[in-house]
Amino acid sequence: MATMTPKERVLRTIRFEKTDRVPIGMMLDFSAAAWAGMKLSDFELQPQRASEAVERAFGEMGGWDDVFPSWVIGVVFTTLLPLKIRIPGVDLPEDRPHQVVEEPLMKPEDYDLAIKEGMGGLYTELSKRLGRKYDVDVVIETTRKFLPYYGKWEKEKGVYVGMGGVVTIPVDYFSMARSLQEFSKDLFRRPDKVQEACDATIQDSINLGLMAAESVQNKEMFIGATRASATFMSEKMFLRYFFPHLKEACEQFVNEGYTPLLHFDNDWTPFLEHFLELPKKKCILDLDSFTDIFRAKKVLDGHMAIKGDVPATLFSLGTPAKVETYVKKLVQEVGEGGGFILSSGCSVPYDAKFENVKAMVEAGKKYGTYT
Amino acid sequence: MGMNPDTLRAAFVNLDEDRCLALVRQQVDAGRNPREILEELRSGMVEIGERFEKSECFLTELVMAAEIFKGCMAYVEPRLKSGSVHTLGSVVIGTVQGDIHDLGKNIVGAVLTGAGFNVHDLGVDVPPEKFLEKAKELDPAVIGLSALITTAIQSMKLTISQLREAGIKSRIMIGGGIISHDESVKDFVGADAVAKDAIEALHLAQGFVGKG
Repeated sequence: MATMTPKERVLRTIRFEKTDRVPIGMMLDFSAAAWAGMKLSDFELQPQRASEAVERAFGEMGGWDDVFPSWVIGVVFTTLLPLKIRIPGVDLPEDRPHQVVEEPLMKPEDYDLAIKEGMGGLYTELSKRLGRKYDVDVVIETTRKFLPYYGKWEKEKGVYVGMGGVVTIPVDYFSMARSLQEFSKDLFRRPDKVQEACDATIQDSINLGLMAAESVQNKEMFIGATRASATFMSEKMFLRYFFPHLKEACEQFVNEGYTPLLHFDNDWTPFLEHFLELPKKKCILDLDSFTDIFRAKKVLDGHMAIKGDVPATLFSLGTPAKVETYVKKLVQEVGEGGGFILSSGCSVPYDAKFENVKAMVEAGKKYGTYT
Repeated sequence: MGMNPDTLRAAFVNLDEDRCLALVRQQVDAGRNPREILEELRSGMVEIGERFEKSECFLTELVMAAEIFKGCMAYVEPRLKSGSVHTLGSVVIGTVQGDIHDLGKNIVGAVLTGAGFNVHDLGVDVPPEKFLEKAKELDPAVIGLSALITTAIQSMKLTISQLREAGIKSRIMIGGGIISHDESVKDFVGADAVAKDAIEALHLAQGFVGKG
């Protein structure tokens, strides 16, 4: 088959159309800074430096297809997300990536605020508590600064940039803002209130994602979730507090021409069958190695593309040979017949060995060819 | 007068917080031996643990069970005579230096406490010296090290080697996120065991003190 551009390879994979080989992606962030000898605070807060660090690794590894825009994450995490976050060089040593502090920034009565004022109102209030300014203008102004980097990567390298808008399904957001412990109690002490807040804010969450995606002119909608997984919740809770909103979001995004990327950390294995209700051949399920990816293939083959899931520990403690063995199995089993993007399971960890990550890219190209 | 032990246990297993707290108050006030109440709550906690293992309940339920247990204990504990309650042994837990994630550790602490261990939680970002100091002071049966991020694996290794070099004989278990997911981490850091979740941590600890 004729060679394709990286972007074509990814887009055809989402539609379950034939490609020349399995496309390769990776969520490369802070380890790129480590390999380039760059200060983490520079990587986190200067999109230009972050883009340079990723570009260097991209060149040294021979390139891949689906590039994660890590030039946005430091700024998004440390300025836009209303979560208490420790930042390298500010409240952490230079050589430590940022960490989210699990504290109940949101109070029980804030569910009413969310119901009345929407997600934007809640964001504004929580940001105020963190001593930050948050409003729609700040978000647009911040995200617009990223636009040139998106353009550069897409035009110059022909790659697919995997993440335009970022969306959090309300229940996942509330769980983070309340802290897992407090939120778990909320599900028993005020279940109807939680549901009312989820129902009341989903449209806002969708709109915020669309707004961010438009400002960087990218068609992939990154839906990050972890707290509604089977690691935390029963199927009954998943179906009550999460899935209807996920479905609504995916349907609206697809109607607007976007590709929802379900970046789902932790274990979703028992819930996989439900994803068959999401738009066919329009979404990607991105797994971090906790969900059984081989089971996901069996359940979702022909319906939803799967992305993943080389485990973080394999990058930090493994060897190139071990990475190669795992990648071979992935591309041969999950990649069989298409619909698979080989990738790191969530982020490449900060202490990943360069040669292990390079081994993933090389093994993907070596074993992932379709005839 | 709410003296039916099945009722408190049932309310606990159903995670009915209000009913549990009401029953505990009623029973304490009616003169029921607080040690019996504690044992009944513990047996409810064991049942929740078994349901968790069978995937009939999840972390959310485990957190709630620990919360209800704590609420009940606030009422029962002051009425227990010191030395009247049998503990399974001391456990020191903490998130290792370089990592501030405490979700998993807190749940492990709550479950072990509920099952009858005397838990000393050193918090997050705990340097090796602090683990060592506490281990020397208490000679705990078990030390539990937690971490979520891979960069903390080195710190786990360092902590264990310092404990062992100082002659600490406690059994050491590790857990948290990706660390629980990959057996090779256990060997790399030199731990005795790895727990994939809070209930497995409980079983490991019970095994270490010969109560498995």
